[in-house]
Amino acid sequence: MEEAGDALVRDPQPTSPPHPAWMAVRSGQPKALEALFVRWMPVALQWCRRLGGPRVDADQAAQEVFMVVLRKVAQVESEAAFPRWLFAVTRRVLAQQRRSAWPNRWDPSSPIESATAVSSGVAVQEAHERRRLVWEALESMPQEQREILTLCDIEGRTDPEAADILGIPVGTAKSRLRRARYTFSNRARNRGLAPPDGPNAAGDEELP
Amino acid sequence: MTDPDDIFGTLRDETACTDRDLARLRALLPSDLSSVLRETRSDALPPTVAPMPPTPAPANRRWAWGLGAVAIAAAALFAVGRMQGPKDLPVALALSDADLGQRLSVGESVVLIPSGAGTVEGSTLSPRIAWEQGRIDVEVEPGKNIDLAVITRDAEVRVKGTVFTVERDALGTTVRVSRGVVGVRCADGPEADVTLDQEHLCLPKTAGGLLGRARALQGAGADPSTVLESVELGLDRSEAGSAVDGELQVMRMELLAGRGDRAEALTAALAYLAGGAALRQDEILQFARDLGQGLPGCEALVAASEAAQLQQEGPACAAALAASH
Repeated sequence: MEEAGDALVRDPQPTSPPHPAWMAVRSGQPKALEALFVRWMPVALQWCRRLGGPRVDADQAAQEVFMVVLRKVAQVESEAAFPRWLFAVTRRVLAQQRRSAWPNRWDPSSPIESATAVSSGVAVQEAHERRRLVWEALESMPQEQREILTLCDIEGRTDPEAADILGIPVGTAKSRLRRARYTFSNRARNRGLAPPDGPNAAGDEELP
Repeated sequence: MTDPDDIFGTLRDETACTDRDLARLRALLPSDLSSVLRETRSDALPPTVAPMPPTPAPANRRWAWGLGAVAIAAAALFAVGRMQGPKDLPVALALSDADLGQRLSVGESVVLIPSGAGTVEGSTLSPRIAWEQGRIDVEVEPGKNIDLAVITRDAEVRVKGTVFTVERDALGTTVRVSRGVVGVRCADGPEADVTLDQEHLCLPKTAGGLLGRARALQGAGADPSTVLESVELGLDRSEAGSAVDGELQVMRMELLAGRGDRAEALTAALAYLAGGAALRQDEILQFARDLGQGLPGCEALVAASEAAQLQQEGPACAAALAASH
């Protein structure tokens, strides 16, 4: 079985020496690892929640991701390369966990509870239904489109930042994001949700 | 048309990582993260096999782990008659530290006093409290057909008109009854009725949770056989080849070696290497060699430099280890 995080991740500028703080991480110094955990575990958990799907336990996946991180972080030559590597590890762990959850996909008694956004007050039922439909629209999308949409439109990253994390050219990221927004708009509309304005709007264009 | 922030804003908020999430996940890892990178040691093994230590008295489960404890006490409160049956209305509440110590009414017959984090859904006659961490006091008026349940990751507790406590920490969920009967269904087991002065422990249901439990037990100095039970249960549930599975396997072989079961520890090490796991491979190779050091019948294993050689020489050495005890 392929191991998540196997590939050696190189600094985009290999001639620059590693930063002392990053060397401390690679050498396993306790304070450096603790700082790494505090800084990046929230990111990993959020990726697991947003990209895992309904059958994946996000907590369990995030714990698995960080176990791999602790074991293999020495392979990452620089802090600049770490986000891309972390995303690749997360993606691999989620894929493994989705495969192991596959036998339960038709079992209505065993769904993992999704994160709940609970609001008090008026129109509780409507808010629940709307939330469910948004998740459903996202989960129906192709994985690579869901990833770019999550990084850019949910997490607010720029195209270059998302391209760096995904390990793709900026131009590819832009076109993929455009297609993702289009796909999401159509899927949201098919579920009776009003699609978003602006760059997310599909309007009346034909599917590319 | 809809603002994109409106359509994703809620989703962003509900999937964001809170400080509590971070604390909960941190508790599942060793207190010193660098210890995850330490070498698996066998040089502290006793020179001869020691007899199994006597089983100590059951460990006190009241360890505080910084996650807080969930305590729920259901008690009879009011004796107010009603002319009409209560309405069953939908409920959706998010409880946090902002509600600390406040008395929150759910319908006419339930009062919650939270000190932690969780959510309340369902309806006023059938509230479902999904409790993450901290403490919540629950007051339920008797005789009002209230079907209240408290759900943690490890257990589901149903009120049947009684007084009980639910405590959740890194070791699992413990239910103690001081009056009446409580129905408990563990996430991984059948339902059980817990009666007066009894307690019931629901273990964490996931491999990762059981690894956290094993580490918590080990950190508190629990008997190694108790730790080993948790490890082996975790291995039953872990995904083969996953990092958590690897950590459980290594913990198991260390525990076996620590109690003198070198043969079994070596067999476990060989099984780990045969599984093809890349994590910690060199370390486990050395661990396997160390187990056979100085023992007749293990010379070839000690001299092996590759996993394939180790696999070849391992069984003979394991047999020699077993025969030497």
